Amino acid sequence: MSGEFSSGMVFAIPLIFIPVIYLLRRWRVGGWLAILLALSTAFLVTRYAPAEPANMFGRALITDALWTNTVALLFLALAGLFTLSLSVPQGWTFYPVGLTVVATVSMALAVPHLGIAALLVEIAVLLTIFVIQGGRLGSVRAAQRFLVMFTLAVPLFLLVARHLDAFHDNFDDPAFVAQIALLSAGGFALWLGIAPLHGWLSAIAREAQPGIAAFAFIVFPTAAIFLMLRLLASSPWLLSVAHTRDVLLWGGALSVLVGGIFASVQISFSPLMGYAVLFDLGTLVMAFGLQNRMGVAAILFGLAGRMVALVLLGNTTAILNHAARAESFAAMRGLGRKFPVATAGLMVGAATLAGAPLTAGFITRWLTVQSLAPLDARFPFLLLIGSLGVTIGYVRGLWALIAPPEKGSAVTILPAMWLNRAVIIILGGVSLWWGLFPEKMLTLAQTLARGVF
Amino acid sequence: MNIPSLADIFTWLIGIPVEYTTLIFFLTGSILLLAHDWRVSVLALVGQYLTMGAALVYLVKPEIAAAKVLVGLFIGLMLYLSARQAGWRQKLARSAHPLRALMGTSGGAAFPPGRVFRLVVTLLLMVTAISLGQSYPIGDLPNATGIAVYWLALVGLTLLILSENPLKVGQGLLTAITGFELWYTTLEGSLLVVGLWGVVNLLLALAVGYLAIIRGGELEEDF
Repeated sequence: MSGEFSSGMVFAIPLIFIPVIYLLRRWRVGGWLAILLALSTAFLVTRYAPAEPANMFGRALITDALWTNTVALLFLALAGLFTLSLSVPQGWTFYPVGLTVVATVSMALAVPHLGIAALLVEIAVLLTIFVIQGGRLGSVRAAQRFLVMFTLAVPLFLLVARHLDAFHDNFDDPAFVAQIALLSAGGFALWLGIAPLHGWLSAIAREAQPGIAAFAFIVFPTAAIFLMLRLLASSPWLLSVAHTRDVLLWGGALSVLVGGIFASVQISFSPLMGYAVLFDLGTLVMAFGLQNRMGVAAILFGLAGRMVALVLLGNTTAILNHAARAESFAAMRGLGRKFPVATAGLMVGAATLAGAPLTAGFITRWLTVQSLAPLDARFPFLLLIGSLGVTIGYVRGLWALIAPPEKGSAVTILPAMWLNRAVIIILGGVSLWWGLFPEKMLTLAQTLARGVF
Repeated sequence: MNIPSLADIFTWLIGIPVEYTTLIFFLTGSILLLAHDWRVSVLALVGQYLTMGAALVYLVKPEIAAAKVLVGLFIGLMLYLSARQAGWRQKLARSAHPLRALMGTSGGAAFPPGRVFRLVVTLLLMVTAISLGQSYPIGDLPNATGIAVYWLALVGLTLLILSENPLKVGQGLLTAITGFELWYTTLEGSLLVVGLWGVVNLLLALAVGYLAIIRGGELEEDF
């Protein structure tokens, strides 16, 4: 099968079926069709990985192994979140918009031109605004912050792309290179929500439906990290700019610290997920600061692990919030006894994001810590504080979940729970499997990392 | 009365000296910062897009300048319709009598009492933009256009900082982007990038309009 056909399918298939899914979005069949579409696209991406570069808009697309694996994981994660929507509706438009967004982001990740990629991601962001708000009246803070942060980054990326295109001869000029590094750093910091620019992360976690929040936390940071890897692969001299390493390491460390501390004092699972994500993104940025192949392997392993963790957290948080008809820990007393699978899934997801041993998250943290310790002994300590903060936050929640239920407390019955249970068990198993037997995934991550550094 | 064609409008726009376009940008930006009434600010935003067209005809192909103006007009239309819908909902919600709510009872002062602070900010931004434009000229842009780029970016970012309501925040984003576009359009020759940028602008206006409707009331800010 030619490369052009197979990579074009990834964008074309969801786009062809989206009108049908849009028309059926209020019925369960629409949800099932969306799940099927996401799963089949993930399968097709891996099955028909293109050997030759395809063309789109007159530009050669990069559909290498890194792209194939990332896009397949994105569609699988989307399918996992769609299963949630069958029992706890996350907004009727989630099915068609979710597919459009992931198809658009997949296209962005294949485009070698950073400016066009940034514009495509921005289009995906603008579509996501509608599912984040989900027709909810009143506060629009989450959608607004998300919109502002991502839009402000686009001009920075367009300038970087313009500089890279137009001034091939100036790369010996340190001032010019520093300018590109600064613009890229600003753009990626806004997109990744690095502290203190994390307003969109915490606002989305607080206001959006948990499934939608998980969706945004999976798709857009993944896109940002992927494009960052691509940029560094094509312009490795960016890492030679003075203080780049310090900026990445300390920027990441600040996010780790802020995420961990704020996570430990939350009183409900939704905002807790936001700060746990901030901690996790901080560790990935620190891994960037390592500037070596081990760091890239840790990042790639981390991307896969965080997708599993976030689908778990999105699913389980939504189920528990919906069952309790409230979000606070206090309102969830005893729910752990009624929803043991969801509670277990929540804890595995949390442990994965926190980087606890025996989970997929631990591998990334371990690889990062091993390389960070020789650089500065404070970094492992900061990672430990952040990780403990996230753990404390979730253990406080667990404490409420397993407490005896209050008399007369009612629990909402959810449809299609068997499917959610199955997804939670499978994903929990995947996280534990990757944590216990990481060799295969780690080998894949290291192979993919060779294509970057 | 003959309706002017697009070509007539552009012939007229080309006649505007580039320094005047900067002055018009100062005016529209000041209105965006100071105006209380959403109708006034949407009108100022449309004026800003028309002025961008006038400034760009000196720098790029007239077709591209015309496309930017058309996108701007669509954005203005979308924001106007959204704000109108949101305003009506707000009035209906607040009034026990729907007819009185639709007719409106407020005086509708275009400039609110807290405008002195914003006036000072506006003047400071003007001075900053002029000083930046003279100290750090932008590429090959005429000096006046460079000042306009700085001014629009500063006004946009200031609106983002000072405002909470989606319509104003959206106008801030669109203004900052207009400033960037005024420069970037002269650099970028790729029609794909220009086209995608237009799509992003239109979707941005759509998203802002949606958030304005969702937010409902308080289209006029208290400041």
